[in-house]
Amino acid sequence: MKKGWRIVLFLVVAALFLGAVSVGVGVITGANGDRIFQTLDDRYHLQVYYDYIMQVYDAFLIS
Amino acid sequence: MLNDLCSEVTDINKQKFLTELGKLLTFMYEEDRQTALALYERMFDKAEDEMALLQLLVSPTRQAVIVARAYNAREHKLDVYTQSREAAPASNGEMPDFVRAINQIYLSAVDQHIIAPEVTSGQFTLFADDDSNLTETYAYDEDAYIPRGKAPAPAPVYAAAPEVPAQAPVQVTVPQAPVQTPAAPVREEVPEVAPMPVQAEPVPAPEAPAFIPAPVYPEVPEEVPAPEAEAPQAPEAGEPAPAPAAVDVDDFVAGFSLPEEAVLPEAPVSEEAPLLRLEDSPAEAVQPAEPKEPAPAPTGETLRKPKVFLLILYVLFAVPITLLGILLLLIPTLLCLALAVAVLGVGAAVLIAAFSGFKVFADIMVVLGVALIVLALGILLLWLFIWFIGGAMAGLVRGVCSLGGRWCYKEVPAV
Repeated sequence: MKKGWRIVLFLVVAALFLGAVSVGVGVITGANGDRIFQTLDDRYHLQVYYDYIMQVYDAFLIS
Repeated sequence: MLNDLCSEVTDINKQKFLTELGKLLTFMYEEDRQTALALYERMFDKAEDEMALLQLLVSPTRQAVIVARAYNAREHKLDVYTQSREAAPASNGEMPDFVRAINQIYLSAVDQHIIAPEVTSGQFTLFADDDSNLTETYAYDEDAYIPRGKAPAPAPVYAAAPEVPAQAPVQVTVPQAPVQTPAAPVREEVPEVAPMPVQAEPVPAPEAPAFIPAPVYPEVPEEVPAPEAEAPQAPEAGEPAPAPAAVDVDDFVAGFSLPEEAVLPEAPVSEEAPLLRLEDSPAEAVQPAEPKEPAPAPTGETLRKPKVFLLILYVLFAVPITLLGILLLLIPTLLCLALAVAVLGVGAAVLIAAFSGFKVFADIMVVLGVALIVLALGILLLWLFIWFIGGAMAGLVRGVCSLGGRWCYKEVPAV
């Protein structure tokens, strides 16, 4: 288990580091958040899922 | 010059081959290993073209596999046992199967004319009276393995003889060997010349006699049931004699136990002792294994005795509590699993989108970075799920058992 923890933590830290570097490079080179969200929304309908979750949350909160 | 160079290269290959083979045969008894190596070395010494012989043998690993397959599994060396056959379970004294296997390789080398079946002066053939069936056998004939407890067979049977083609003139080559006749296959001169321990290691000298000093094993005549009159632990007249199979089983079981002199049959100390048995009944060699006596417990040792009432009480409480704890642990476990699956799914979707839905490099980098971060979280959650099962739940059960062992058992000095 200890060895497993070590391996998993190494993988996680490495992935987090690479992800952070990628995000930093993208932001520095001119990434646009609205454009990214628009592209993802066109592909995965993020806004629809977000609205549905908020409605369910409100319904539970009211009841 | 070139021949010298080739000879040197061949020698190196031979040495490498034998060294590698020696490493691979460590599962055998030391005597058997030395015997096998000596046989291979003789094969190299007698080969006209050692490279061809190396090609025939293919590799040390292949030869080790052949020897291992032929090696009797019952005779395999146990790490806890011994390096020597002296205390090993007795064999019936016949030629070991692995020697036969090496003999087959030798004969195939003779068939391919890698080893010349020549007869030099000072050598003789055991089959001189039958020229049509001249058969070369290797130096290790079966005479060396005839159990000394048995009467010698009138005509020696050479196992490899029928497999050699008739047109190949083959003779038994016995350089520098004392003259023997087929009618007297038992080598009686060996003990007289060398009153050394039976398990003396063979000496691979170039002028060594053709009979490689094969290990002489303590014999167990299988065909002869243990006689009641001469056996030291003979049963009464009315009782049935112990079957040979039972003796074998005892020897076999004794072979897997730690050294106990009382269990093992009396091993011959020198070559003279087995020779004396020729006149004696062969059954005298069979020492029925004496029943093992339980070893007395060493002083200062303690035994764990359960406090029965407390143990029952503990089990009554511990089992439901443990089950409750496992159920409680199942909640975060399954939650981690669900989250891990969801997060990994999202991460994979984002990763796919990064490479297929974006055209701007900066956007691709940002989405790729987010995908990596999400995947990292997914891996962490998945590992947490595994840890809850293999670490937390198993640790809970182990801890409960350990606590029960501490609370419900007491240590008392062994009587």
